[in-house]
Amino acid sequence: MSSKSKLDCSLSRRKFIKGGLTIGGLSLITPAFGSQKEQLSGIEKLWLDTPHGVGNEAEDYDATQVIYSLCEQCNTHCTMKAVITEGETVASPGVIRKIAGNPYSSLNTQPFGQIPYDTPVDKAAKGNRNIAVDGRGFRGGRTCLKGQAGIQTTYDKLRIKQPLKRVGPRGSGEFKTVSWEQAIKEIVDGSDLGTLGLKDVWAYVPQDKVMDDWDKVKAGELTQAEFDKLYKDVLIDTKHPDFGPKSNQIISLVGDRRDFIQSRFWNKSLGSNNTMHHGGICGISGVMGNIQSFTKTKKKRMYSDVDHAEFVIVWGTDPFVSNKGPTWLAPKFQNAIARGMKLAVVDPRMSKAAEKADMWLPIMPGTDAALAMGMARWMIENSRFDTRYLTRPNKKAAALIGEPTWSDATHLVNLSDPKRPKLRAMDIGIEGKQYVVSYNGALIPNDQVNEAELEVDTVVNGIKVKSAFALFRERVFEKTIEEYADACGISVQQMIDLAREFTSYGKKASITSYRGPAMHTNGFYNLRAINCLNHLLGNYDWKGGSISSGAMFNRFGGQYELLNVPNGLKPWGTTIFRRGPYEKSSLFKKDGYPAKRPWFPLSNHVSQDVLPSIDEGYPYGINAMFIHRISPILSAPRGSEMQSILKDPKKIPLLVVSDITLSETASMADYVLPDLTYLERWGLESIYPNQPLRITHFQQPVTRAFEGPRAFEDTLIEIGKRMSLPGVGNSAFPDGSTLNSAEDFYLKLVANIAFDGTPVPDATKKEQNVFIEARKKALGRYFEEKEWRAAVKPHEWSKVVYILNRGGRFEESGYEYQGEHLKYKMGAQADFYSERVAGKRDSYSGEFFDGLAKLQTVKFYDGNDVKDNSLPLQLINWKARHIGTHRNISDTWLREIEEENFLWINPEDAKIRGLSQGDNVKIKSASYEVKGRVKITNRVRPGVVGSSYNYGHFAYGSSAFKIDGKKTNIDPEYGHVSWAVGKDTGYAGRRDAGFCLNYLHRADESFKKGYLNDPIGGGAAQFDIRVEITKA
Amino acid sequence: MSTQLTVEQKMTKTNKKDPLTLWYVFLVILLALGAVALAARVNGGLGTTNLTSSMPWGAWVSFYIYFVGMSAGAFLLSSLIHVFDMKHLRKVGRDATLVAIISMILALCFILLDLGRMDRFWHALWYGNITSVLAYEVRFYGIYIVLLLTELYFSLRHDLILQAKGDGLKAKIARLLKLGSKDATEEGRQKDWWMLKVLGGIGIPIAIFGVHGGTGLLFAVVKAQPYWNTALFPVIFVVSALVSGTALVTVIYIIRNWATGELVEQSLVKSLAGWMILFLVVDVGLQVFEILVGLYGLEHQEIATLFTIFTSRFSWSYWGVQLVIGVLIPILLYIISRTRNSTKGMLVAAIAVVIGILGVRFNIVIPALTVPVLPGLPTGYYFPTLVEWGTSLGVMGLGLLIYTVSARYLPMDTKANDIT
Amino acid sequence: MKKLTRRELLRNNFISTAHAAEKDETSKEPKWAMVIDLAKCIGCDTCTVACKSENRTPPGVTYNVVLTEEKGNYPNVKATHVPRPCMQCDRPPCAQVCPVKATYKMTNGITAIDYDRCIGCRYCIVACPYGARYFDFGGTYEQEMLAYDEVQAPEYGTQRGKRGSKNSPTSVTRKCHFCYHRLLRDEEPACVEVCLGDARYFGDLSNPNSIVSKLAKSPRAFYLKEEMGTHPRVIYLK
Ligand SMILES: Nc1nc2c(c(=O)[nH]1)N[C@H]1C(S)=C(S)[C@@H](COP(=O)(O)OP(=O)(O)OC[C@H]3O[C@@H](n4cnc5c(=O)[nH]c(N)nc54)[C@H](O)[C@@H]3O)O[C@H]1N2
Ligand SMILES: Nc1nc2c(c(=O)[nH]1)N[C@H]1C(S)=C(S)[C@@H](COP(=O)(O)OP(=O)(O)OC[C@H]3O[C@@H](n4cnc5c(=O)[nH]c(N)nc54)[C@H](O)[C@@H]3O)O[C@H]1N2
Ligand code: SF4
Ligand code: SF4
Ligand code: SF4
Ligand code: SF4
Ligand code: SF4
Ligand SMILES: [Mo]
Repeated sequence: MSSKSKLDCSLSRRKFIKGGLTIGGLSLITPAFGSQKEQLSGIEKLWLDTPHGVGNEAEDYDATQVIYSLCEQCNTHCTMKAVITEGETVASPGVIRKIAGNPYSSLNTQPFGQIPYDTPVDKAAKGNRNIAVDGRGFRGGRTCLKGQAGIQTTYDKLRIKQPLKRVGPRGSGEFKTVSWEQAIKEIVDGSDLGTLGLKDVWAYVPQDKVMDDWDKVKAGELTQAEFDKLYKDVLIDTKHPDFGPKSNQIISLVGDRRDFIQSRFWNKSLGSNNTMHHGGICGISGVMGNIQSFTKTKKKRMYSDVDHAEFVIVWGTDPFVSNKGPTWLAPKFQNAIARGMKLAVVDPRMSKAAEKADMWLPIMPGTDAALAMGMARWMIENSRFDTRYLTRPNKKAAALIGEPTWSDATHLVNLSDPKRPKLRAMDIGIEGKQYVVSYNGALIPNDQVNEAELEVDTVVNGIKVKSAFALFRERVFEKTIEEYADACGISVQQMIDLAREFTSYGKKASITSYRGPAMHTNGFYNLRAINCLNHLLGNYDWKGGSISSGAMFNRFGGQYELLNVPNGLKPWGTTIFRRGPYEKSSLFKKDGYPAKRPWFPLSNHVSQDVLPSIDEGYPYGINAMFIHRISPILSAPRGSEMQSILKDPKKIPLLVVSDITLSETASMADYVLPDLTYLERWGLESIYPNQPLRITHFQQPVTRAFEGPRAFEDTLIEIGKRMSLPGVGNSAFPDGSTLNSAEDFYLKLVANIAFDGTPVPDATKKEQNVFIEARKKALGRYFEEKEWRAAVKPHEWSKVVYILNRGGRFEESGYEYQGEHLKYKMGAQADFYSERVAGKRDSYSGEFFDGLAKLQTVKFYDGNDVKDNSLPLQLINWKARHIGTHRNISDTWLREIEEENFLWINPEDAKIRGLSQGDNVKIKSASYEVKGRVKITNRVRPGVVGSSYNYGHFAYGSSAFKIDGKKTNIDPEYGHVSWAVGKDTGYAGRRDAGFCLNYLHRADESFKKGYLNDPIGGGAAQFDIRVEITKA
Repeated sequence: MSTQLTVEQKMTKTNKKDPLTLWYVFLVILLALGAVALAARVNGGLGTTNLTSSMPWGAWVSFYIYFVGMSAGAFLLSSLIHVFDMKHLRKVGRDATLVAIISMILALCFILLDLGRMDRFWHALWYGNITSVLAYEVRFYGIYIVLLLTELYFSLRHDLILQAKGDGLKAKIARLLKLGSKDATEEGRQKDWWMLKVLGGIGIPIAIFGVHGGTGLLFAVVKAQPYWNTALFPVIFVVSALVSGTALVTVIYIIRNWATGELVEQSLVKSLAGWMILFLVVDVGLQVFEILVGLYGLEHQEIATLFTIFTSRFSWSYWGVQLVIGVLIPILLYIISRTRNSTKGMLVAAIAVVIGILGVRFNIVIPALTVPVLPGLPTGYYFPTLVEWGTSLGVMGLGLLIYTVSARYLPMDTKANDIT
Repeated sequence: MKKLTRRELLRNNFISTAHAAEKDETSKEPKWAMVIDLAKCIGCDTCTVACKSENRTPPGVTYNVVLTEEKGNYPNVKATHVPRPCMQCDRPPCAQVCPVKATYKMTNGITAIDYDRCIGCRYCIVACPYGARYFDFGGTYEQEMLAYDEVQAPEYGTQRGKRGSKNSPTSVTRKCHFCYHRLLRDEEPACVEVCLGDARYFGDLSNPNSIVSKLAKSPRAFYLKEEMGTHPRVIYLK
């Protein structure tokens, strides 16, 4: 959008100025003035002076001082630009002067759009517009406040600089520094701490061989004793061969660089099935609820094409603050609102998005399905759904009416089978596995008609069938709108208003949702219900509707098959958190229902249950654990218990933590390996299924703060070599190339990106010089040109440079749409009914899950309702706008924004409890009690209290440890007066300020050391905590 | 009367040495304390204070306006005496002038202490700004001090010449200070009186409008602070200056005469106290207007300031120091005839006023600044640090030292005046 | 200290303005202004941190803050965020009161502070109706952050060396300067560059075609505390 048309937008957004201009309430604001005079009056000349104390130093920079990379201050992973200046006090010759957005990337340049990808780097660094007129120079783009402060994460003086080895018992807080060589040697070979070496505990055997023999045992062809003898050194448990090889007892919990660490090293080099990322504590229930709402795609997230939407419901997420992410979504939303888009927000507290919304629906937490189903009922009763869309039974038929997607509304479900699958052609005697639909009363495979009946309820071949839509309709008609309204605390009128608005804009209405409805024991079903609203509109792939692209350039294949390991291992066996159906495991045969701990047939990465499972030794115990860039003590439920598990060497015989500082978790480790921070190394995370253009970006080194730390990949490569594992060193890749350092991996990845489709141009000689010059200035000896070049083939180099020079590959703008559709389409089937879900059983009761959306209360594992009636308030939480997870607390500039995480409470609830603003309170849940301070605000629903979850550190530089007998430094107190912290005084609070919300997480007493989970989605039920607040 | 005199003389004579040494010891302690605090201040900058960007001014500025007020008040008193020939008050004329000078020195010390860049104090004179009250003010202070010194000279000249005769330190000092003047005639004295009248005439407007009115103006022009931003504010500054100046001169007169064994004239004390109470009543009246007008305006920031004054945790400085000590006690002491007619009673009343006005000054500067100028900005909080207290005591110690030395070596006792 | 001519000496004192004003009539340099759209501002404080990192201001010096006000009762509640940089007033109370003209107006509209002249009297802080001025008490982030002292911003186009060295602007008053040094290199102010709500606009108010000129004509335009008569160069849209 040109700045001119943008301007017009902002001026025409008047109709959105509503609410009686409460800003006028700031008594300081007075109304407008007429035309702007720019001639100074006589009086004004009084204060003019010829400049003194003013010079001409602009601190200008050019392309040799710019490196574009990727921000990892939160899990949004935006593109970014770092400007480098000279310095003496950091290890590299360059110091990062300032971080801004990358002008080549649309993620940083909303609403203007990125500069053309072929803009020469020297020009890009200089910008191209006139700030006097346009107001922008386009030298840099947007990044959020956390991104700005990232410098302080890297330049944090309290980071760890050398590998540390525990002294004294685990968690005692005493360490000594050791060399990298020693650390790696002792991790692999064992140590005087009594830790076993990986070498001693590692063993792998392929699944086929074992299972063949196991079948023989079952068939009586082989005795158990013979089997034991064959496999006792390689299997975890010869009585339960399905647990897999001993390599599974080396487990990892991983935050980033998952492709390298998990897909490559853990799975294929180590042959371990046990590598989990944060999933379960992040948003897994939502992801699974989305995935199970579609067939033929893995649509993980729910996003709107904001740029052309007319109406968006933001449902339990805050795209202005968190989600993925504010840098890109906030300006998009603001301009959409200015253009006239309407916004409704479903959230128990007034999020930043809700502040700007036309409708705020402060729902009772965890009752999202009720709202969705109430809306659905009204929509069906009033025929406000897209019948034309829903009656199309297949892709081709949908295409005929210009629908890129279709739904299963007409597909029949086999209700006579206890697993209630969809009826297949073969079930009615027609060859094939197609779904079956009813057309003019006849049952026909879905691919043979262009239209089918929506409401079907019949019996065929003795099989009772109903259409998915009929089932859905029945389900939503189980309760009246009044009952739904009652259940979710939203008035009938508001519910209807929302549904009416939602259905008033054709395909240009959609829902953006994330963690709010998901992180409950019923999160999966909530998401199913919400998805069905989009289904009813059929808004997928429509301009202004639901977007599911996430289009990228090929990263792992093309030039190099990066995730393939020649002679690599194939991981197998039960994962520690028990992914997959319980019924297939040997434990089921032994224990039957209920399973001792929940099994997750439909989820993955249930990270919060990893440590408790280890503690119980269910399904088995482990030998070694690596934790990398994740800190369960603060981020997972009941950190205090997580801590005691981590501390126990009997449960975790070897604990290695890769971190950048002595975090809460790192301080429990046997060995702490100082990693490079995101500004010092390579990386490639990117979670953006909401962008209409193909975008691929990655991290590359920008600076180096300290000499000692090393990229975790390098450590793993060393470990792999010492253990003679496949996939490291020579011939680590299928093409025979080597993997000796992180560069070897990531530069190949860049080559893949460069050559995908039409390869990018070669970097000119000039650009190549800029590249070298910039790295020399920024990195000095940490840039090894020869090694970098050697990582790719000579002919690839100049294209690699082209991409590195731009921080990624960004598709040209202007190609987002094809007609009325998005260019990158999901093109898949939307499911009202999920047979995959219907066929899986709850591992407690053995009952089947429900293939439909469902209104469900908050439950324990054993199926009983969580009541906690003595705790009248429901505690929710959210992401602080100024802190990313728990890993930005070292950033003083961010701590200045707010000194702690205040507990929001409605004035009504505060009054009953005699609380006044800022009071210290005790927050008591069924399982724990913490202390906090209240913020009394009308921006939260009565009966609900909440807070950001990003505080509560007790290590991380906030308390002293002993390293080599010396006490470590802690963060200083700011300000020369003690009372000036916070409150916009510009003085930061302490790193250990506030409280850790997760300590309050509700225990689930129906299994050992368990916490409320979603049994289907697998997410931690972080928003199902009930509490009472009392004055401290 | 004479018996009383001898008794007092005896008392002072017999104890003469000890109290004076004690006094000097006391002053040395004060100065040492001040020096230590000053060193900390110089080293640590304003970080050694409890000032912040939301509370940019504190004790030092309060003391500064306190002493400017004291100076202006004392000077006005002396000028009134000279210009309107209030002969019965002449006895305190010199004291008043001296007090005015010393107060002004202290005021400047405080403002110097308060400068972020003390090393650049000279910028204040070297550079200027046509619209800055403060720029004019520093220049007024310069003129005013010169004027005060001139005035002191003329009021002492005659006695200096007399004192210059003879040996000893006092004579030597006098010889130095008489600036070569030899005219010890009565005619010369009359000329001096005339000079004093003229200087007073020039000085009165300077003191009223320039020095203390101007200092009030420093505050009054700040539209960002509605509590200060009234035309009455400078007037109140002047009146309260008169209150404090009169009070201090009264205190000094009584104490010095006690200390030197001179006669304390009851009628003089009563008359001074009368003036003091008169000024005080006017001052209180004006302040009531200020508060009423402020409240009536319903302006948020102003009301918040008043609320801060009346109800904050430091409101004791308003109710206790400013009202009870500064107003109620002196007025009561004056109303009750037993105390009114007692030197000690009036001394207590005057001391109470001197303390009370200090409260007034703090309550002008601090509460207004604690209230944020925009809702949402931090609310200020302030209590002086040890460094601020220490330096302040040191500066006041310096003032007392200057006075003590002056009283000792200059012909401050004005017996000669009795002649006229 | 360099020698001053008599003329300069006079200028230092009271009569410089006429001289500077002459230049003003003829010059075509931009007259900078900022527009902040409160309807778009989400109160994220990205501007605040951008300013910190651009200007490397010490603890306690925050040229930009975002003030939040909540109005109304649940559920009819509204939150408004007012970002507050320096208004660069055309009739600046700060410059009005500064005794040494350390604070003065440049012809480009920016209210400048001469760090070499300021005596740290803080009268301007008291006088600013927007609380936009901060005293530099000499703090640092160096205990927690590498290279903070070393890398400092050339505010007002002047590189003053390491923090804590002789020339660093400690014990003087500081405030937002519209990122003067960035303007010199054709970059918009840091807070404008990154603003997440796309709520900040910048440009030349004397050019009728500039985005700020157009927005300034909006009926939504207003000044903060207009009754103060300060004539700010930061224009808000409600
Ligand atoms: N500033 C910042 N940004 C971040 C992060 C961060 O830590 N800080 N983290 C990043 C990560 S890892 C992720 S996964 C994303 C997550 O992005 P989001 O999903 O947007 O993050 P949350 O704050 O967890 O969102 C939860 C929202 O749901 C609301 N809510 C709570 N309970 C309910 C409920 O029962 N129903 C409904 N409808 N709403 C409810 C909360 O009030 C809150 O507004 O954000 C990313 N961005
Ligand atoms: N109650 C509640 N709980 C939540 C959430 C919530 O909203 N409410 N949010 C959840 C969500 S969405 C998520 S994603 C999780 C996040 O949970 P985590 O992933 O545990 O959180 P982080 O704060 O990112 O912790 C990362 C650790 O990695 C370290 N680290 C940072 N950078 C690096 C690096 O470059 N290398 C290495 N090796 N280590 C590094 C940090 O020092 C820190 O110790 O928390 C979840 N927990
Ligand atoms: S949203 Fe997250 S990734 Fe993006 S700039 Fe902010 S902190 Fe960095
Ligand atoms: S906002 Fe304050 S500091 Fe800025 S120009 Fe106006 S008065 Fe001066
Ligand atoms: S602090 Fe500096 S800029 Fe402010 S008024 Fe005093 S001398 Fe002027
Ligand atoms: S214009 Fe520059 S100095 Fe002013 S607030 Fe914005 S970033 Fe800070
Ligand atoms: S960055 Fe923009 S949207 Fe965010 S607080 Fe500042 S002005 Fe408002
Ligand atoms: Mo997350």
